[in-house]
Amino acid sequence: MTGLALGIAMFAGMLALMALRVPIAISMFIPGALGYLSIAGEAPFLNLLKGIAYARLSNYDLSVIPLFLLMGAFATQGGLSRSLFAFANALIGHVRGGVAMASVLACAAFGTVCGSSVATCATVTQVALPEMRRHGYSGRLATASMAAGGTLGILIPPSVVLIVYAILAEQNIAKLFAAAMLPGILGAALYLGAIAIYVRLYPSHGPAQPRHSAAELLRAAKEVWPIGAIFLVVFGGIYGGLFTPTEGAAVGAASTFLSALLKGEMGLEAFKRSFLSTAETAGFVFMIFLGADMLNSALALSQMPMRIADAVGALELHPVAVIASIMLLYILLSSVMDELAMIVLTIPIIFPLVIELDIYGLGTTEKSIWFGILVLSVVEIGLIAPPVGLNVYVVNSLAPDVPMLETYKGVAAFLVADVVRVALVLAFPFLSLWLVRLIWAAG
Amino acid sequence: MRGAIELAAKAFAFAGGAVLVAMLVMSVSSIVGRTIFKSPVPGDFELVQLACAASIAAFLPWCQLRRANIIVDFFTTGLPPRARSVLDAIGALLLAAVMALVAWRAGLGAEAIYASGERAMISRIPQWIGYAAIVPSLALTALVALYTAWESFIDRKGV
Repeated sequence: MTGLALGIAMFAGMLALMALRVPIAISMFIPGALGYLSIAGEAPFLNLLKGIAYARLSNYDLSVIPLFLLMGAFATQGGLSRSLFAFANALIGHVRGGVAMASVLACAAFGTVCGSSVATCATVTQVALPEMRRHGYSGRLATASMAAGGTLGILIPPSVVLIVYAILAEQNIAKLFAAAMLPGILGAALYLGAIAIYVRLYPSHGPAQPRHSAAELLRAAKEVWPIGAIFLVVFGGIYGGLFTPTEGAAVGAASTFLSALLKGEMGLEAFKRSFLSTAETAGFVFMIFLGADMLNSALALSQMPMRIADAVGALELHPVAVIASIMLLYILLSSVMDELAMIVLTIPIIFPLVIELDIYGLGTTEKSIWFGILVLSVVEIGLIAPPVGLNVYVVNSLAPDVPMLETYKGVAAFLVADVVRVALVLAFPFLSLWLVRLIWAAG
Repeated sequence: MRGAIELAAKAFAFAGGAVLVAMLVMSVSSIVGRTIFKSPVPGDFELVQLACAASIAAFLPWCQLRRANIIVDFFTTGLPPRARSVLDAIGALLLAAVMALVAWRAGLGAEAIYASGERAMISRIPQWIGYAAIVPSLALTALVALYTAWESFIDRKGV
């Protein structure tokens, strides 16, 4: 069998196993192991296995993941979402659709301490959804705002997806975080715009409320300043070169813990739950890495990624058209498979291809950063797009009285906002690169 | 049976959590040390690598017990529940086999590195410790996966 045929066989085997409910990590590992065995033979295979787990586990950049997860878990268990929502609601809750806007803002702010979309979505929904319903908001607008707002958890740094991309593409995590900042703020702003237009068309879905008093706003503001301070210290420190992303995550986790503790929200039970939820997520992320490492070692031997890059290069397509096709492929893939697994699986094949393209005359590093932000964007779309929008499932489990179809109808407005954002990031690389250039040119 | 497995998986998860906290404290004191006293913890990066490996590996049994290892259920939603449970049992068995294989090889890897006497560059910590630290976790993950396979097979739902 030629290398290419073997590569295709491994892929087919992986997809078949996945379809049969075998954990994604194992669906990648087994075909990879068999492929490696058949190309390299038994002794190299057994030798590779000796180090495969430890090599990945001891990757310095990987340590960012459990620390940021822990920070997010402390924020979740410590009830930070409640203060954030109260503040945002006091700020803009009175305008038409304002409580939904406040929910989105709370998600965006929570996203600065939490790197997971599902966690952001679940924790803010628990606080904001009952408020929206109490103020007469329709189930459609309320649930859709939460599902879409939750995606800001990964769009705004820290972001587990972005860290995973950085590890795979061997890029600087700090630069990727900086690059994600403007598109993240843009995403939040576009969501607010989507809500404003939606309630203009359907005023009964998000009625206006009485304005909050200045005293109420001030009281709410007092509760949220620690979160702003944590964000400034963590990212100021990382961008300013004071510490590595891992150290920044450690500082962030420690200070989030302290702030929850001082608020009296961090009891022993909450503390334990923080660790168990970190263990769950960190565990499956690592397992996917392990499976992908095995598969990619075999694919590298089969030289399939190189062949694909050559074949695409031979087509002589317009570079931006190639990128747009990749984005489409990702949206299709993410509708049936887990977003994180999709990235881990495809980046080793697609990244070398992207690097070969001449896009707007960008250098290799800038191209990798810009592409990472694009990948993040489509992943985010996959979290709310039908048929399998993970965030929609999360919201649905918390609001069982709203049919999922209703949520998807409302999500359509936010998907339009997403498409606008992705188009802007695609067309204007400076949106992602401006802050990176500003910080690293000075330093 | 369930009790013992759950206790072991939880104990490992909390042990991993404790290592994570130790790594966190070490990182923060290293930052303070080098910015204020110009003296970082020597070999702090190596310590992070070692601690990170040990802690994430220790999370794996709990992750499997909670069935948090992601599956794709898009194609099988139409199947009867019984058929899905059997597929889940097979999936968990495969996971057990892979983890057992990786645990066995990592154990041999630890042995080989112990024999070579390799040490980390700055902290001088022997390299085999990292390899050895993950082996019990990997082995327990295989065991937990066997247990979840059995649970799926007899159709009892998880935690």
